Amino acid sequence: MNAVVTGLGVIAPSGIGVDEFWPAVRDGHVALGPLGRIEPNPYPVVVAGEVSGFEPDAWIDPRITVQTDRFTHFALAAAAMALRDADLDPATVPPFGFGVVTASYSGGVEFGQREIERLWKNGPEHVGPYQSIAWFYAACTGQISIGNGLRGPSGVLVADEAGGLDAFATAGGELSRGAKAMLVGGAEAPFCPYAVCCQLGLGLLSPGEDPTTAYLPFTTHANGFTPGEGGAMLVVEDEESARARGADARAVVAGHCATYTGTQRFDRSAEGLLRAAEGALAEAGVDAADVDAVFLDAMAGQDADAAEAEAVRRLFGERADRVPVTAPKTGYGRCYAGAAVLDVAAAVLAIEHGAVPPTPGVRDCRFDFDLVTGAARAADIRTVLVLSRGLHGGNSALVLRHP
Amino acid sequence: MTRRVVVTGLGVVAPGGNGTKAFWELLTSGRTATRPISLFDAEGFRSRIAAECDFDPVDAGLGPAEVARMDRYVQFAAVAADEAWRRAEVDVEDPWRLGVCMGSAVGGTTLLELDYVATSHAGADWLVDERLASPFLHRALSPAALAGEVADRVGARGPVRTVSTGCTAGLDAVGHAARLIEEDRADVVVTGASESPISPIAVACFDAIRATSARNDDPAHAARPFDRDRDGFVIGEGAAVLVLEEWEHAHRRGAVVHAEVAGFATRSNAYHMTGLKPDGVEMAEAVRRAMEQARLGPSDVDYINAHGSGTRQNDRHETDAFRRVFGERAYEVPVSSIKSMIGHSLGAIGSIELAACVLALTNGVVPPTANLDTPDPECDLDYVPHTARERDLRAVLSVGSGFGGFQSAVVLTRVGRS
Amino acid sequence: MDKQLSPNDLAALISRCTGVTVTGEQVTDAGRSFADLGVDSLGLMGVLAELQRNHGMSRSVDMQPNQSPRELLALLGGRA
Repeated sequence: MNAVVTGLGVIAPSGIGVDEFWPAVRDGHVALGPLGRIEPNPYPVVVAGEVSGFEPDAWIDPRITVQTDRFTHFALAAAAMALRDADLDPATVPPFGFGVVTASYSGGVEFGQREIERLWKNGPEHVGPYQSIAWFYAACTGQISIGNGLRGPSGVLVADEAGGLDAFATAGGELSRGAKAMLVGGAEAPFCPYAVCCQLGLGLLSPGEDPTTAYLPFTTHANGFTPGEGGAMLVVEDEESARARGADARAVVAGHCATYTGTQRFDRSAEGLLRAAEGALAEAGVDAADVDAVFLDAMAGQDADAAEAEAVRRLFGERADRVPVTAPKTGYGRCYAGAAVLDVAAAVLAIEHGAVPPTPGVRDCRFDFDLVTGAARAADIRTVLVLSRGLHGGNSALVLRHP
Repeated sequence: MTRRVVVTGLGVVAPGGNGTKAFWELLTSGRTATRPISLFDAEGFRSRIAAECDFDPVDAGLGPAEVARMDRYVQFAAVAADEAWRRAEVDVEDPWRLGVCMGSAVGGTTLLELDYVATSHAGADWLVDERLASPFLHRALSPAALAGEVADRVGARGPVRTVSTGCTAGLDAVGHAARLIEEDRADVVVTGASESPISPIAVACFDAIRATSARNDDPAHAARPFDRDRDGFVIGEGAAVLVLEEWEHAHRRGAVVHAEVAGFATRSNAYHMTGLKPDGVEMAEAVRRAMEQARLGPSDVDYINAHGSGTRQNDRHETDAFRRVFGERAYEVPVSSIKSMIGHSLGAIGSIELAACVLALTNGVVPPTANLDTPDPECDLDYVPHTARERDLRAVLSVGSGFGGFQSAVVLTRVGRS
Repeated sequence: MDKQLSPNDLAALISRCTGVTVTGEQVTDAGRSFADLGVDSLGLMGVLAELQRNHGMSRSVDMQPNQSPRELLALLGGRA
């Protein structure tokens, strides 16, 4: 792949925009709190990562706000930020040369719950005209394309969390076939009653009531993950095009690989993660010995964590206890399709700032790998590996390199 | 070196008949499978007609545990995948090189709505009671479940994902699967798409924008693409699955090769979530790029499988796109829409149409456009009205257009036994 | 038919359904179409559906974005 990241737009519980997000992540700030979007909250998930202080009208035409779900508000705002950050005016890119790929998990459930309530409470004529375009998984890609005049190749992937990494490979493929720039990412807004009802059936959510201890992957206390909302959009450009316009390459999207080891069979995911990591490194033309940091999936289930630790151990062998690994998402929650995308954003920032951010809240890691805890660790980062598992069994790996 | 992609297996579940054979018989007969909705009580809805599958999961070979676990659209895909996989006779040497890429627009809508009604007491409670939900509800939230179920059936360990670009998902999933092989990320990919959207919420949301036909008293003639008297699309359901394989991989094992996936492209109109411009510039661009990848010129395409949804804006939009790409040749190439017979199954239809294209290529028959009695004067191409036509086909084009502004094109070409 | 819907009421209803800020003056301006105000076909369908559900407007009423809110108001029997 000849793709470089030139712009970041982030909306996370830890902060809106990289200027808020990076210091919070670097310093291991815990942005989890009570699930406030459902009030009163009758559900056995008490702690969540919620985006606070987000005003859609600051980013989005009010005409679009009324016809879209919160997940699309996040994606549109993040796309606007990313374009600004990249200093890229889409009008300067050749027609059909700028596309969009987003990953999704649950779509616009909150919007959908309001409309389906009208249907069942009041009758079919009470369903509004926007249900057809707000709820479906393609809403973000479509609205970003329309809002920014992007007529290039576009896509929507659903592979749960792992889809967030797969989106970068898909975009990279389009760049190698002639596209000049792509907006890549995904966002999630999974906190309305019906969305929570659906997620509870996973049996993977932490029932913990204390934001500082609810989400503790890789410890003996690991008892599920804390869900989060938010996500990120990144501008990824063809390396040549970015150079020609004088844009700074922030990181190189160097390699990707995806495998599958069975729906909710995380106990089997070790080999899947290992092969995904090896495949991504091979595509990037580097070895495991070159990896300077790993962003972990951090499912926070005993079997799932053990499988991920095993994958890391087998990947690095002798060096396994000396490669810094981290899971910043324990500070803001697992944002489903936004989760891996936020990891990619954090990884780009880690490369830029020469610091591996910590795993907030986690102290007593039960595995013999070098989990960064407490504070960020200064490091000259040339190569980062990002790992992600999807709830339906996908294992994906993405390699990012210093430009 | 360019890796080429061929089709070595095919399976279909569609209105009017399950299995490839019944599907092809319906299409070539020109009969329509549209009827009053029976899957729910549609009293009070504006559009009360659909193209439904006569599908019994047990008769189709699924076990009780599978029936319980799978939403209707997953059942369709499982049955279509079984047919395609059986016919492909792939002996999997390396499961890590076997991928799955499935398409769907609205995924688990049927189960999501069923469980919504149960957990909300039919819409009475905003704070739904999760204790009343089905144990499989979480699988309905994300259509990644669709690809996962298919992957489990064939033992895939390679890339597994769902593509959900609305109504172009069925084309895009197959295009994405072909890319996985071209980019050397897999040697075999089981691909296709599935949808079961005939549920109150999906029907109501198309009612709200008057996109569907309200010809409730005459369902057999309601889907009328390119006809002056059309009044919208007829919602459908179904699935198609194709086994895609790298050319050399298929050749080495002596597989029966049905067609080559020679080109794919998708572009966006960046115009409106549901509206189309009268000009088909973006669809034309997608078609050109797909033909370029296939190394074909306008004179090489022998049949165009249209999006043909039967809305006024679509029919004019794509007719313009075909004129742009093919010039005078556009008037010589047969164009038809099988949605006239099996309805518009949203994210599934693109794959079902590709299945039809594979069958058209191998049988040398162009399926017709049913119900085309009085062509719209703005639509002046040869839309193959009513009756199938025998024709030697070497290359066919299938296009799709969907909410979000997506315009996609796939080119399939005929190949002999490898 | 709801005879009480004033230009300001209709303006507020349009704003709520479509996200476009519309004033009572704009509603009574004969030269201004829905499209001019930034209301597209989907938005207009939402406005019409709301009027049909809660203001007794006939289900047979159909309008296009190139028509004006003033025409709609006249149909509703309001003071145009």
